[in-house]
Amino acid sequence: MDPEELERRLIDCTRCGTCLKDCPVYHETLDEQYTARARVNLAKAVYYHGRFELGEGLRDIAEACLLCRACLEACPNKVDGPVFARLLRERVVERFGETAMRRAAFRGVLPEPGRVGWAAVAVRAAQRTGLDRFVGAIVTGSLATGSLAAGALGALPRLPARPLTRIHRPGSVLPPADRDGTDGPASNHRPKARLAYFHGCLNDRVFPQTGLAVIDVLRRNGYEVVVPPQNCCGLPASAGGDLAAARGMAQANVEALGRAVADWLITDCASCGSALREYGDLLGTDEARAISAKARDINEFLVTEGFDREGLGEVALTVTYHDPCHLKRYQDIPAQPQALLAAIPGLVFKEMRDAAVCCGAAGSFVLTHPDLAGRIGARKAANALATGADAVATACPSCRMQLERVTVRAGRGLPAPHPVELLARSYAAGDACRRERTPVDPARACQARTKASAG
Amino acid sequence: MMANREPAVDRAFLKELTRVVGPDRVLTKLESRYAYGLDATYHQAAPDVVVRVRKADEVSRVLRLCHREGVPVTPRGAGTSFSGGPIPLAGGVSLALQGMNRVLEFSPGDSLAVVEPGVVTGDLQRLVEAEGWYYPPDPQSADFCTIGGNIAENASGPHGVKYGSTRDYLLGLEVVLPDGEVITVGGRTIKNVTGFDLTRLFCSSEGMLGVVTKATVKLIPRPESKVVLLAFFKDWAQGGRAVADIFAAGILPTTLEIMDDVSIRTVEEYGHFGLRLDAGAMLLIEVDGFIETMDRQGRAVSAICEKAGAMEVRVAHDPARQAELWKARKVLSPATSRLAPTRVSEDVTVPRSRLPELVVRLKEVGKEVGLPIIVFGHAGDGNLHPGILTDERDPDKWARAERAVELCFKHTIELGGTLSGEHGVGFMKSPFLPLEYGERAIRLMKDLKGAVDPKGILNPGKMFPDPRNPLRAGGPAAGAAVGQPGPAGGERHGP
Ligand SMILES: Cc1cc2nc3c(=O)[nH]c(=O)nc-3n(C[C@H](O)[C@H](O)[C@H](O)COP(=O)(O)OP(=O)(O)OC[C@H]3O[C@@H](n4cnc5c(N)ncnc54)[C@H](O)[C@@H]3O)c2cc1C
Ligand code: SF4
Ligand code: SF4
Repeated sequence: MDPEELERRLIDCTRCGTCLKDCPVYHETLDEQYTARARVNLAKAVYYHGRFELGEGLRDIAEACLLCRACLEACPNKVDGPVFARLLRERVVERFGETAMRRAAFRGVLPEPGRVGWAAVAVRAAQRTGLDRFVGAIVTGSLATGSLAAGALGALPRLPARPLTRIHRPGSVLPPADRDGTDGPASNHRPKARLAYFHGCLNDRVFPQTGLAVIDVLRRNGYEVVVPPQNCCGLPASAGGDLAAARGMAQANVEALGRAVADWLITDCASCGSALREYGDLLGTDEARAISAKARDINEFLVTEGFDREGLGEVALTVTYHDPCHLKRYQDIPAQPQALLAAIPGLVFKEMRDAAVCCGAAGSFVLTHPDLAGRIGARKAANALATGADAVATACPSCRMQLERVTVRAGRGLPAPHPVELLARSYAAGDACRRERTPVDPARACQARTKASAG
Repeated sequence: MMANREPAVDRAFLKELTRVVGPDRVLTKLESRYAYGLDATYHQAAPDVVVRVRKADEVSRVLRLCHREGVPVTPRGAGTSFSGGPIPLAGGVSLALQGMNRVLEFSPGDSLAVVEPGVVTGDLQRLVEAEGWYYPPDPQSADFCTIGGNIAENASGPHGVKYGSTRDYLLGLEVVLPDGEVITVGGRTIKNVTGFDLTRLFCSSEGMLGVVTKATVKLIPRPESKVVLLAFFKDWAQGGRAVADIFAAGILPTTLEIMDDVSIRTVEEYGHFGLRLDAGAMLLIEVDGFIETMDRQGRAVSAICEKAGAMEVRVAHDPARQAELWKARKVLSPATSRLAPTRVSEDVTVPRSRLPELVVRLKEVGKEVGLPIIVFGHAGDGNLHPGILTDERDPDKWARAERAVELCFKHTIELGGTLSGEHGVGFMKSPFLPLEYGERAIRLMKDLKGAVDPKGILNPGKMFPDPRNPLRAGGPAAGAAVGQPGPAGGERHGP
């Protein structure tokens, strides 16, 4: 941020305290040092007046923020609290350096898809052989150039045997598919558009089923899908205050994605999506701005461009939805995922209380503040469970991990599929129905019941 | 003055505090203390230590300790004060009460609730409204300020016309005195004339006489229905006439808000509510009661406004439309804060009949000092919020704003009014106290303070003219005015 912009933004804060109202961290701690008002005014003291000597105490204050933007939404003067948390984090990194774990993650592992892969292999090995968190951390530490800490291991669910990029190798080009998802005559049709799919780290390594569903749904709807080579979107680094590392990752992606020459860049990860949309500002180049302009979230894309509804079959599930901060407040996509769910025959949608309150994962927050993240998550879990739903859909893999974990802890684990996975399931149900040649009431969707399990 | 102030606490003292509440709730790092040194004014002064209490017993033990050592203590709710109340001018302990946030009892049978001071006002309101009850004091900050702060400031809001202020709903209090002793005053009954009315004494005592640790508040049945009207007038004279006529007709509205032409225009630009830009004044009127009376009351108010010369009156009976009409008033603060880098907001109050005169004088003040002044507020109770548009970074403009404040106060007192209708004195208005009170009355207040707090440890530097006041001691403290980390916070790293 240039100094003038910074000064203008700092002076916007009238210290009214409205931002205390919806801040999940404040609600848990009731401690004012962890509020947007505190951070904005610390930033004001640090940057604007330049008289403030920083102590180590700043790290804690800077980091105890979910970057969820609830404060921005509440603020009558539209002061962007998270911007100042990030600013303070940058300052902490500048002055006191990064923690060893982060340095390893931002500089060692995340920029290199290969190393992310190695880390994942190591984590999986540790999980399979039942090594406890501590031993696991040592194993991953040595294998992945001293990377992921013990906490990360505890935070990860069981990893799948085959990541998405083993199924669809980087560089794969997938033609449009027939209505039943197979390579039929449609693959020779002119695609409606050429889409580059950005899966990010988590939907590659942890939830490949999301990527498969996205590719399946897009192909059925007449799109050609490219899976370009890519690396971490950089959000963990920029959120952590390591802008240099974030820029490095962004630049590598801008180059790789640029080469994919697609009409749109589609992602199914809310966090990656918001990062991609910020590349223009982060790098300030025309190429980066072009990538940002093309980046679209899959939910928004399908709802805006339309999708085949006739092929949908019944999915008899009761589902609630959790709004990822990075989708609702960072990308202004507040209703599209729910619209996808509503389109699925047989699916009963139940809104949960405080659906848009942060789940508490917030990237590395869950690692730096496990206790707080757990308490914030517990509220989320209680609200999700109170709906009686079979699943709590969400559009971000990081939220997904948290939701699946906190509902288990609350006594009844709920799966947290991406809405597009449920959409893909609905198409599959439609396929099954048509294969069985069940007479179809033309006015209604295919009635064949697939055995619905929420997983 | 404050620049050379030594920390009021030492290591041994901190250790004792830690023994009371545990290490996690004693904050000593400068970065942590900093947040507890500010409120909604443009000033700050970090305390030497923050103690986050959870129980009355902890409050008592902390105060006993401070009393013994002569360490200043400043109680703090949510820090939304407009008068500098929770800013620890003399350093020492910031006693953070937000963590005492339990609703202890809700008793429809006795129509009361018992709450801890850190309960957020809006949370209590929602809780009782769900059960058909109503806690009326409605500061606009209700969603984030605390009952304790409301009691200490005797807060009220737009509904004050009909429902009064916080003090009208206080039945009893538990208070920790500055020496750590715990007393209860008042009780659980609607009527209570036994002894001096200490409950009301502690109400609006701005955290200077004791720390409220429990409050018994009165609830009333939730009104069944309401009607909301928006009326546009050529000028304030017409608007003022409508206000007078509404009361004369025997109607007691819950709300009677007035906005001037600049406010109307600014709000319209901000939110596009379809307001009349040719109007010189706008009234937002709300009347409540039984459903059957709504139509009649709506028509009556409407007719009165038209007779007073209203160019247009809009009436809303359904809740969605009512919320829309209210919206124009609700966004007023953020909308107008864009008009200038800094808006100094006052809350002067005059007898209702003098309101149009006050507005004329306020506009003249604006011309005199060469700064725009916007005027809006609660016309029903004569409580206006003149907003002086200035720039905290420009010493000249800041000085002119301070001059404007002085003039506002002078005119208000001349018209038989008071310096503050809602926000309290703190140190923002303390230099002007002698404008409103005679020397003997001020001495009585000081005697009272001295009797309760002989060592003067509780919230020092407030209410009375005081050399510790960053506003007036040796001229405006530019540092404090532009929101720099006050010397108390910026130049030391604490104990
Ligand atoms: C946007 C905005 C709108 C506002 N609108 C209104 C309005 O419409 N009407 C109105 O009246 N005010 C209004 N205010 C002012 C403010 O919200 C009130 O004065 C409120 O009562 C302060 O409550 P608090 O919890 O923030 O207390 P604080 O600001 O933390 O403290 C206020 C004073 O109370 C003392 N105190 C706090 N808790 C206790 C306790 N338990 N025991 C003893 N003393 C205590 C403190 O020492 C201090 O002197 C507004 C403020 C803002 C920022
Ligand atoms: S950030 Fe916004 S809501 Fe928070 S104190 Fe500042 S102006 Fe008020
Ligand atoms: S971004 Fe979220 S956690 Fe951070 S201060 Fe704002 S509301 Fe609180």
